[in-house]
Amino acid sequence: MRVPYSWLRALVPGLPDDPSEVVDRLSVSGTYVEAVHEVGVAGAGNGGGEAFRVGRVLEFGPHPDADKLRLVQVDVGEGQPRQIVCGASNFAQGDTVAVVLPGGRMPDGMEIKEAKLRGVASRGMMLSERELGLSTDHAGIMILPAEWTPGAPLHEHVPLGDHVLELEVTGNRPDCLGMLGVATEVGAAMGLDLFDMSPTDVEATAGGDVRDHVTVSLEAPDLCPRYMARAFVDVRVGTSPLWLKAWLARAGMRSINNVVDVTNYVMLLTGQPLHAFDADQVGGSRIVVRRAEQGEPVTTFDGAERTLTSDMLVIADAERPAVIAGVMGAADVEVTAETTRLVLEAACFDGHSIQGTSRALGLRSESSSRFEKGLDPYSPEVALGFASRMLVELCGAAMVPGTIDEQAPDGLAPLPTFTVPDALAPRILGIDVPEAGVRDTLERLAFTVERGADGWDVTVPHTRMFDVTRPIDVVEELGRFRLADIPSVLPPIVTGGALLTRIQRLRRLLEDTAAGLGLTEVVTYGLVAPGTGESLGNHEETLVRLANPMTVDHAELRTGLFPAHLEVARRNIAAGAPDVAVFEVGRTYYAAEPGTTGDDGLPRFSNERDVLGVLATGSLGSGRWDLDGIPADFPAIAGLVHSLLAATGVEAQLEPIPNAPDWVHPGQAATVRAVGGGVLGWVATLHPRYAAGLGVEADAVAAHLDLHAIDAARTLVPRFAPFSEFPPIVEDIALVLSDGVAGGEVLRAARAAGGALLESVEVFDRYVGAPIPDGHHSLALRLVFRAADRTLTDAETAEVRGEVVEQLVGEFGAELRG
Amino acid sequence: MPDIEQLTRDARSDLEAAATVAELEAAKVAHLGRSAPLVLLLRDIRELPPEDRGRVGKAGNVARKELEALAASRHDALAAVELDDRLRADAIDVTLPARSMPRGTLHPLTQTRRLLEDIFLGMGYDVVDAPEVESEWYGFTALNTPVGHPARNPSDTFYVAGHDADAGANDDALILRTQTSTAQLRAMQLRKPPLYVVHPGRVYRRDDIDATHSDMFHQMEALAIDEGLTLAHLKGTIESFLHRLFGEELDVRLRTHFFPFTEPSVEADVQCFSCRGTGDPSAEDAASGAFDRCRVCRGEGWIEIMGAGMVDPNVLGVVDGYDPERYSGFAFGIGIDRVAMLRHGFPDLRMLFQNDLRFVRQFAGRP
Repeated sequence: MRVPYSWLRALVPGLPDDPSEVVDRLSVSGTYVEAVHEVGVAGAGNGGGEAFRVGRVLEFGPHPDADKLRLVQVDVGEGQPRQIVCGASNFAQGDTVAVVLPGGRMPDGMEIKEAKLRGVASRGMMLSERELGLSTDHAGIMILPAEWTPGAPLHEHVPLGDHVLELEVTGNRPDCLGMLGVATEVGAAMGLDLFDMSPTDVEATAGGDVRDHVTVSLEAPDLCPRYMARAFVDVRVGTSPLWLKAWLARAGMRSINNVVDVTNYVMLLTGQPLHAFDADQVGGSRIVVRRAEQGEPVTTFDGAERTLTSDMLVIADAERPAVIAGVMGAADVEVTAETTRLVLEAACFDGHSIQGTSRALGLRSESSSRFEKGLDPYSPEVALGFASRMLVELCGAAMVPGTIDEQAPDGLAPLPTFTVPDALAPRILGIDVPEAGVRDTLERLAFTVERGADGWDVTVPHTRMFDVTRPIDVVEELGRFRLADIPSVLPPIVTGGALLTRIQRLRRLLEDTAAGLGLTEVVTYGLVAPGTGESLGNHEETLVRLANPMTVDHAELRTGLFPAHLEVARRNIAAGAPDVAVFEVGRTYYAAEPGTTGDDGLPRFSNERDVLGVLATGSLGSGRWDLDGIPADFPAIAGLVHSLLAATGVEAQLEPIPNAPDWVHPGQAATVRAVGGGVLGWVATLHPRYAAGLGVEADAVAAHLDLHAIDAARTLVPRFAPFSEFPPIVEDIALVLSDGVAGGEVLRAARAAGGALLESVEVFDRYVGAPIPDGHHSLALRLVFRAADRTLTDAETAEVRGEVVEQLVGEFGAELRG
Repeated sequence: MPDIEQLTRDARSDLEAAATVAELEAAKVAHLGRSAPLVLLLRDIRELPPEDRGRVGKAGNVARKELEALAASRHDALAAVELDDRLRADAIDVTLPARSMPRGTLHPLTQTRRLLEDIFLGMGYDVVDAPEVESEWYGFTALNTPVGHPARNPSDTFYVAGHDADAGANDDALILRTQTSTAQLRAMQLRKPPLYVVHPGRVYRRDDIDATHSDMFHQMEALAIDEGLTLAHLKGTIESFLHRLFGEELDVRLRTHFFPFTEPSVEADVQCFSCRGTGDPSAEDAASGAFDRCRVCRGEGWIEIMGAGMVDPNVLGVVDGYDPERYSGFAFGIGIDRVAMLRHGFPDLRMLFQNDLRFVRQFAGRP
């Protein structure tokens, strides 16, 4: 909503010259002023703009050197006329015109100077409406009313300079889409009275009755609770006065003609859109308010042909739709220069219906953007009154007696009336509002207020009837003008202190550990390209897909993080950074069966799992300078996974994945399992074909770990375990094994066979080549023996070692080397 | 019989002549080793006539002790010199680049999220989680957002395929939540008052992605419900929070606004932390001539930072145990991405999700 400050001052006479206090107060009380634009002649009417004068053409003649220019002698109240060279030709001797003298600064910032035009001095400029920002009219210079005195400052007659306040009007306040609503707010915020607008209607002076000119049939009262109309004769369609053009222009509307301008002006004033029909073009002199027929065409005022559907409301004449109700009229019933007989509509339409129609047709207008907020059914009569008076006063019209007022069968919704208990405002606002203050605020906001026994009996004004319906809503009315008075108090919180949950602490621990291990955290989109889930082997019914995606590449929720992480790698490699090692703790989504509940017993509409995803390619550490980086290969990322899990106290083992999915390297993929527990996730080199498909040619290794699975596997508060005070005995053995034997199995078997005295077993070498036979390898193990209560003897150690070797030979066909 | 004095002189001479630890060790072996004449003399002392044993043994031992002491002190001196030499040789150019170890960084969104969480943890608010795929009931109806509200529409909100029948007017239709306020209802369903919780999380809206919009972004919701909570408590909490986030001395202003699920509703502005409310460009910007007003607040002096309000009785009334006659409360929501942008001063929201490592690694601090 664009509010010309000069118009606002006319409605609230006590306002200061400078709008800044109004801007601040309105912004706090609920109508945020997004911007203040200075328009027109800077400072005009505020001590500036004195160079803009009323002038009179005394005489004019041709320019000696230019056919299209005239030399004009203009009286600007200086005693001596001024010579002005002018390119327009739409004026005559004796016409009153607008003049800017040298030194004046135009709205576009240009300063007018004395100049020679084709060798002749010009001591000023005669002005068009467009040059002053009053309209888009640039056909010629402005011709002013003859009674204006030459030499008078122009701003005494025309709002030359102005501030325009650009308001952000919230969805609950359609009343502030009208100047009267804004003025009411300003009056309450500033403690100022409004200008008395009465009389707000006019007498009918024509003969006959409105029904002689039009009849109205309300066939869709559910979409139109009220339809009012009046008729006017002897209308003289012409141009509007300058003040009206100026206010329309500053409010963002174009001047069309005086009749249309009146309907737009009254809409801007009251917030209630109106529509004027040329009565001679209304077929059958009949207006039918009905639903459109499916597929019914209409050519709107903007020249476009539109096809309607049966849920759209139209205002039709006897034959065809004349207006898409509340949105836009048809070309052939609009008011033209020839119009003399008018039907003026003021109606209330269902907001949802207008919104739906406007959306479906992709057509928004000043009218639809107001109706879609849901306007009240009482405003039409107010707007009809204002518009009638202006049509009579500005367009020479005579009003025909009678007002058509068709209403839905159950009548107009009543104004809300209820009692606001005294205790409520302090209970919600934290301050006491004295009785006088309550009365003052509410009365300035046009509420009817009466003091009851222990509360206020209020009746809500019709322009607020859908917003204020409960006592709490009145409390807001009181609070919003007192926000600065409300003290700052901290709540006396007695819940006993807050702590992150296990999962939240685990997440922070993993994030910090990952960053500490050299991984950079990324955040990627939850929505991915269609087909991503299926390309990872998910069945369609397990995916969450959007019914209404916005773009083709964001159409379903992700089931894994690494496709997006490959994109991160691709982007960074392209930017010249081949070493990419990233992680993200992010959510994955799978479809849930109806009736699914979460751990907390509340409904879940998808299965959402938080996952730690890791992806690396190139080297860990850049490898520049004098040392190679660690290649970001499977063993390195597997090591990272172990380190991440070790930080949470979880010991993990990797197991081969039989039948690994086709997006992973068939020989470098493992399930990550907690030792003695459940599956935590996986780590795998991505299949080169898959990675290349997403733009990454280098080898990339990824891992996923499920946060809840890690949490289930960890001991939040580990118990102390005593350790031995006695020295270890270390022995190395080397085994020749068939290549099919998994090293992890060998280690587990060795640990099991070693019993309590075998403290640890580690692999320290794996060797392939002569003299080891083909299909075999040598695995070197370091056995560490230790007892809790004594130093072991060689004999004890040899016995345990023997048991380990015997087990490995028996279970895996191992041969002891050397 | 060897001449002890001669042996001692020779040994002393050799030990003193040794220029390195190795030469010294050789001299020690020669003069004090197992087969050195002096050592052999002392070993074989029983083979001497009894009358000589005492004198020779005594003189031999004196000589050996003296030579051992000499050898030890020579060793210390030579070793010190050699260590000095080695250290001198080991000197490195410390200005050369260090070896590159792996180094990681937390994403600015994580850092900001934790900061927000920590401020509220300190005030006694628990952090709760909530799902992102929601029903229209949780997303709109229970938040007092009626059918017909513009947000409740497939043009603004993502709906889940197969669960979008009668979208916008069907409590069972499934959406990607458009705000973290959905966590309000779930928190209330799980606990009885007093309730003090925050919920950071992801939300989705059908917005075109540009420098200030995204189809996915992050918010944190706060909800407090207790007996006797008023707008004054909301104001105090917001001030406290914003002071910790942006600076203790900054003014905070509440403006009336509209949200379906709060009444009264407000927006909170914090005085610009860069220009301190003056709207003037920073000294650096002014000097460069590129900016004629504060870049952070665009010269407004205020930064619009969050929506808030007193929980609407219609929302309280949805959950058993939250009688609006007895309890009142407040809620607010803040954009985590926006706070990150403000704190770090980067100009484009998309940078958060593009993950150029040159971007993420700039923010190595841990809040």
